[in-house]
Order: sequence, then structure tokens, then C-alpha cells
Amino acid sequence: MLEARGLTVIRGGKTILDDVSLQMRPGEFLAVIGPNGAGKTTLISALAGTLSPDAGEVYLDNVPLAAHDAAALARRRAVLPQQSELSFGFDVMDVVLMGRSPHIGRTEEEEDVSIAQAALDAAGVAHLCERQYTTLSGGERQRVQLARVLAQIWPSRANERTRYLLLDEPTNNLDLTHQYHILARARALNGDGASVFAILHEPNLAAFHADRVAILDRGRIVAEGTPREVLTEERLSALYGIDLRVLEHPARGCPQIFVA
Amino acid sequence: MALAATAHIGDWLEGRKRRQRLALVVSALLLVVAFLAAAGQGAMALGPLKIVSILLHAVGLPGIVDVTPVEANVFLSIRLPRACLAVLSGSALAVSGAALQGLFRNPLADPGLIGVSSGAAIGVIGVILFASALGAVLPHFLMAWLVPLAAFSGAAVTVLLVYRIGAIGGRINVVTMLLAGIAINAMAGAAIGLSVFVASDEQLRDLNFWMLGSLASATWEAVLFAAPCVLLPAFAFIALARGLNALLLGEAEARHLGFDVERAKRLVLVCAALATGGTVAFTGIIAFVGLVVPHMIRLALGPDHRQLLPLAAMGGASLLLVADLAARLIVLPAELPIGVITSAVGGPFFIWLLVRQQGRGGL
Repeated sequence: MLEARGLTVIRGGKTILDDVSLQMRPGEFLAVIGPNGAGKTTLISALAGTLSPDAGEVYLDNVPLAAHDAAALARRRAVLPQQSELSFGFDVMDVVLMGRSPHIGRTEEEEDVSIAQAALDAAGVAHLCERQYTTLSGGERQRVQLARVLAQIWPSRANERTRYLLLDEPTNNLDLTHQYHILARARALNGDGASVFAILHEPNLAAFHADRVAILDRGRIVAEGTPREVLTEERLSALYGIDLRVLEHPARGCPQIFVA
Repeated sequence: MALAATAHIGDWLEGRKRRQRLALVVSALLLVVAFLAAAGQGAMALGPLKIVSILLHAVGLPGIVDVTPVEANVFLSIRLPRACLAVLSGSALAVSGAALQGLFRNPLADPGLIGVSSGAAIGVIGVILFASALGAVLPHFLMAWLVPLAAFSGAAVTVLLVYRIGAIGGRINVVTMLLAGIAINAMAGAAIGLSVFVASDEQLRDLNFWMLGSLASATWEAVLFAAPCVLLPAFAFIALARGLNALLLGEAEARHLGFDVERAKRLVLVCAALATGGTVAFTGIIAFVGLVVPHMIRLALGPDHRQLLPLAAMGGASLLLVADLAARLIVLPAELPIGVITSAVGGPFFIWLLVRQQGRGGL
């Protein structure tokens, strides 16, 4: 299990995260929503281990993240950035194969190639395999990056322990179809026991895809539970500062939020 | 259908590998030809057969054709060390350029442009100017090491400075990086101007050589000193190739892939300073090699450092051999500073690169 215990981050005298505790459980999709400036990006950076908190710690299987071997950690946990700054003309296949770097010496090159292909297929971009990354649109790039992180934690006999995927606002710059597909694809990982954590801007996407939703407001977790428990009219209206209505999704039964 | 796609990808990957191997062979051949041409041509022309014969004589074997002692002497103590130094400094500049461009995630990070070469030169100028004063206090054996040491320190301080100035909040600001390079080049210009003002005639000649770059002072001592300064970093860079690839995704992304990013960054900075400093100490500032060579290779074969670095090493060496040959032949019997040639070719190339990047949505 990947968990944050009492994370506190202070930058420039301002408390950005205040005693945040969260658990990413196997087979579960956890979404964190919150208004701009709530500390969402700081939270995912701390969870990913790129930012060291001023208090508290992130644990993987009860061992502090920093105590894990970097490559072993990378085989189990991948992070999809908000947007990638890659501006060099790699072939798409090479970008996805970079996801296999932590497996070097443990898998055959042929296996890496077929995993990369399967990951491209899963991300719906198998047809872009031979293209140059820099010639792709923003949405295509994001899906290639998804393929890269999927390839990184692709299940295999050598990679059997619980895997974790962290997504930082993965639906930015994506159209409706791809917003749905990228989250549905992440959701599919839950099927074989992997755990997914996503920072989402849009509460409706969290309500639609997540098993559990946490609300981050001014650096604190103010609510956590199933979408139905957490996404209530009063709470969301107060959170976002506008009058909101929550209705039931006609087919899925999950809550959906509308401006009143 | 999935199976067919797999076979197709296999073919595609195989074809790519063939192209990469071909590029490696072509570059190696090009390097051999450039080496023979540079070592053979000049005021006294020596054909490949003569070169082979001189080398055979040197190791005590009978030669293929007759050579005079003068020819052997010119080749062994002038041409050969000079060609070797050209190979070393060309490789050093090109692989340092390629590795720094990976670290800075930008194809414009040339050791000359971002001031690393100037930093090395500032160190050397200090030594040239204060040599007599320093010679009075330092033991003789230390003096011989002083120029390369000063060059390395100057390069190391500069590369660190540019990186610190350019990397704001973990992201590298290219404009800031290039402007920092301009500032450091300007300071180097001031240091050079000041030294011209106070220098004696002999020092002036040395300084002139620094500003424009030249391989004329190549000796076997210089080659022996520069060799480890170039080879160690070159192999270190090649060992870091995958990490450099991952760094192009971003520092956080490389860390998430399990790479020790801080270690890679330190290694690249130190090795680039070592390679640049270790050669600038003997050749002066030779601009644009680190920019032109990696870029041409990226255009032809893509940015993968596993191919880019070895090819840049060979390409840089070939380019400098040819540039030095041109420098020696154009105004025979005098010779041009090699920096004049590389800048004359590299300047327009840099402008073309800028315009091209501008067209793609800026830097």
C-alpha cells in the first residue's frame, strides 16, 4: 500500500499541505479534487517523492519511499505528468520504450518491444508508433506519455507486486473522448490489482471514474469517501463558491454536478 | 492482426538498427579519411602509403615506399600530434555539446555559446599574464599543470554558473541560459581586452591564439595530457546515454523512471568541464563544433544519446581535422586560426537553427 502520513509542506512561510494523510489501496481508483491553489500539484509531487515534505512521510508497504531502491520503485510505480516537456524528435516507440528503462537487464529487448506495443495499443495510439513525437498534437502526446507509464508498470511474472499509477491532471488538453478513454484505461488497471491515484480538475470525472474521492481545500483533506458520500450539494457549493446542484447519472447512478 | 503489426514493427526496428550501424561505419570511415588527409596534406604532401611506411618504420618494420628522414620527422613530430589533438578536441567539443544539450534539454547549449570555453580561456589568460609572478612562487612541475588546471576550473565554474542561472524552479529557461552565456563571453572579452592592454609582445601572440583557437601548438605532451581529459568524459557520457534520454522527458520524469538524476547532472557538468577545459587549454576557443555536429546527427538519426554520443565523437573529430586542414592550406605558407573557419561555418548554421526553431513556435 502507498500512503501519505501527516504530510505537511511549507513554502515561503505559507502552509501548502497541512497534515495530509491518504491511502492508495490495491485495486482502487482514488481521485483528489479541489479548487485552484488547493495544493493538488504539491500533493502529487510529495506522493511521487520529488518533493520532500517538511513533516510527515510517504510510505510504500510501510517503508519510507526514500528507502526504496529507485529502479525497484520505478518498476512498481509510474507518474504521468500534467504535460511533458519533451521537445526532441524521438520516434514514438522510443518514448514508450523509455518506460521500460527500470527493467533493463530483467527483461529481453523483444519482450520490452511487445510490451511497448501493447501499451501503445492500450492507450489507443498504436498507429502512431513510427511517428516522430514532436510532430504529434497535444492530445496525442499525452496518450503516448500514458503508453509510456503503462509500459513502465506493465504486469509480468517478474513484476507481480501491487503497482501504482499516479496521474497529475491527466485530462488537461484532451477532448471529451480522450478524457473518457484515458481515465477508463487507468480504471482498467484496477482490474489486475493496481492502484490508481489521480488529481482531477473536473469533479464530474472524479464522480464518474473513481472509487473514492478526497477533497483538498487550502492544503487540508476536508472530505474523503465514495463519490456519493463526498460530492454533496452543500459541500461542493461551499468549496467552489458557486451554487451547485448534484443529480444522479441516468445510467451509472453516480453523482453528477451542475451549476444551478 | 495484432501479430501482423508485431512483425511489421520488428521489420521497422530492424531497418532502423541497420541505418544506425551504417551511420557508425560511415562515420568511422569518414574519420579515417579525414585523419589521413589532415596528417598527409600541408606544405609537404605525404600520401597514405608514405604515412603507413613512416608508421611501420617507427615500430621497427620495413616500409612499403621510401621516405626521407625529413618527411618522417615532419609527420611524427608535427602532423601526427596535431591530427591527434584535432581528434581529441573535436570529440571533446562535440560530445560535451551533445551531453550539455541533453542536460539543458535544448539543442542550443554549445560549450562556446554558453561560455564554457570562454570560462576556460579566462582561467588560461590569468595564467599567461601572471606566469612570471606565479613561476616565482610555484615549483616548476606545477607550472606545467597550471594551464590545464586553470582551464578546467574556469570551465567548471562557468558551466555551474550557467546551469544555476538558467535553472529556475527546476525548469531550465533557455533564454536565461543563453543570456548568461553572452554575459560570460562578454566578461571573457573584457578579460582578453584588458590583457591585450597590459601584455608584452610575446604574451600578445599567445593571447591572440586563445581568442581564435589554433592547433598549431600541438605537441605529444599536449596530446597525452588531453587524451584522458577527453576519453574519460566521453565514456562516462556514453554510459549515461539512457539517463540523458530520460532527462529529455524532464527531471522529475527521469527520477520517476528510477534514474539518479542528481548524480547524472553532476557527472555531466564535471565531465563537460573536464573535456572542454582539457582541450581548450591547448587549442584556445574553437566555437560551434559542439553545436553543429550533434545537431546534424540528430537531424539524420534522431536524438537517442546511445547513437548520438559515439557518432558525435567521430563527427566532431572529423570536422576539426578537416577544418584544421583548411586552416593550414587556404593561406599557404601561413595559416589561419581554426576558430575563424569553424565560426565562419557555424555562425550561419546557428542563425538557420534559430530561424527554424522560431518557425516551430519559438525557443
